[in-house]
Amino acid sequence: MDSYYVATFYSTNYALKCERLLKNKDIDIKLIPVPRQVSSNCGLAARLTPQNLPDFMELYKEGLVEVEGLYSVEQEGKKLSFTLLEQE
Amino acid sequence: MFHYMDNAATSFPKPEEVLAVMEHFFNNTGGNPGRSGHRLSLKSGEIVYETRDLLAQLFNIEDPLQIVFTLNATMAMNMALSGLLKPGDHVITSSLEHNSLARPLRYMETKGVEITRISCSPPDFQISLEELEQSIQKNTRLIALMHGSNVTGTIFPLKEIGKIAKKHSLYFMVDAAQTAGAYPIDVQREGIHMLAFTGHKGLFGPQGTGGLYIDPRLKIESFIRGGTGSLSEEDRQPDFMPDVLESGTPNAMGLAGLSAGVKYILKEGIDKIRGKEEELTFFLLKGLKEIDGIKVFGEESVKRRMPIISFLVDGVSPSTVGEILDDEYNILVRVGLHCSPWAHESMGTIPEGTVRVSLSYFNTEKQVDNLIKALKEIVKEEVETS
Repeated sequence: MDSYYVATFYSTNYALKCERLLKNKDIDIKLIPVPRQVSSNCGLAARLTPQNLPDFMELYKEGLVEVEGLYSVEQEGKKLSFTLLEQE
Repeated sequence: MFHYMDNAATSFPKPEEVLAVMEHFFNNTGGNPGRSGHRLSLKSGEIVYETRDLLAQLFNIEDPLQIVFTLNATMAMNMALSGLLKPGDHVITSSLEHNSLARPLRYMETKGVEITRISCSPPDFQISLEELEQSIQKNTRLIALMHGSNVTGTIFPLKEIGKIAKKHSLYFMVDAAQTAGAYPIDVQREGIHMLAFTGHKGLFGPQGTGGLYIDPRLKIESFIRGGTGSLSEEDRQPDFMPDVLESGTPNAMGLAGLSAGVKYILKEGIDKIRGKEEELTFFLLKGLKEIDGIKVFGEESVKRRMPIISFLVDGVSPSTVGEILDDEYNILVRVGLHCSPWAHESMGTIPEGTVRVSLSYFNTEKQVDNLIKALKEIVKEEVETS
C-alpha cells in the first residue's frame, strides 16, 4: 500500500506558485492533473510525499500558498481512497 | 546595413535569446498553459508563471499573481480605467500623455468621469507638482500618468507623485511603456497602485505582450470574461487574480520570449543599460546642439530624460527629413505626431510634428555619429530636400 498527499488549488496559477515556492526551498513536489474524486476543477494539483508535508504545511500556515483542499491518499493497486484533511 | 533608431515605437534588434526561447517553445512545448494537466500544458504554464516571476523581480512586486498579461500597455490601461472608474470620479493626468491613455480618458469623460490635465511647458516639459497637488478635488480618485514621454523624453518623478497620491489617499497609475526595462521602477518605493507596461519596447520581448500590475488592495472589475482553466464548473468569472482579468488562451510563446528579454535585462543590470543609454543620449544631444538650424525639444540633462529626442530642422519638414534619412542614409527614425496630439500641442508642433530619434542599448556611438553627419548634410542642403 502506498500513501501520499494531494493538495488542490483554486487555479493552476496557485499550483504553479506553490511549485515555485517549494522548488526555491529545494523541495520537489509533483504537479498532477486534479483527481476527479476530489475536485471538478480542471488544471493541476500537487502530489506530496509524507517527507514533503511538513514544509508544505509551513507555507500553508504562513498564508504563502492558498489551498482549496488537502487530502491524504491511500493507494492499493488501482484503487485510491481520499481523506480530507484541510479545507479552505 | 541600416541604423535602427525607432526604439520608442518598438525595440530592434532584440537579444538573440528571445528568439531562441520562442523557437524552443514552438518546437518542444506547445501546450496550452494551465489548462490540461498533461506535461506540455504544465510546462507551458510554468513558462508563463516564470515570466510573471521575472517581471515581479524587475518591478519589485511582492506577488507575481498580481500581474495580468495583456497585448500591450494600451490594453492594460483600458482595463485599469474601465475597471476602476465610476461616473463622478475625477482623474488627474498630464498634457504629455500618449493616445493610449488620452483616448480612453476622453472616452471615460463621455461616461461622466472628470479629467484635469496638468500642463508640461517648455523648455523641459516637466510636470508641476504644485499644480498637480492643487488640482486635487473632493472626487479625485486617480492620478494617471506616463513615466517617460515618447515625444520629449521627459521623465516624471514617480516617487514624488506617489507621495502626493498617498497623502491624499488617491490611486496612482503609471504608463511605463517607454521606461520598463530601461529605467529602474519599484512599485513599492514609488507607491504605484497600477503599472501598465508593454513587452516589445525596453523589455525586449515580442509584439503582442504586455501587462498590468495591480496592487493587492485594489479590486478591478473584469474586462473580458471567459475561460481561465479555473473553477470550470462555474459559469461566472472568478474573482481572484489574475484570472479575474485574464481570460482565453494567452500568447504563451510571446510570453516565453518576454521572459528571455527580462532575464537579459536582469543579467546585464538595469543600471548598466541605463548608463549606456545616457551616454548615447549625451553624444546625440551634443551633436545636435552643434548644428545650426536644428531645434531640439526637452530636457538638456541626460539624467532627467529618456534616450528619446524630438527635433526640427529649419525649413525642412519632418516628414522630408525622415524620408531622406531612410532613403539616403539608411537611418530609420519616426516623424510626425507619434500618436501624441496632447504632447505636440504642448510643444506647439501641430500639425507637422517633429523628427524623433529613439535609441536603445543596442545602438552605438558610431551610429549616432553617422546620424549627426547626415543631419549636417541635410541642413547644408548637400542632399536634395524638395
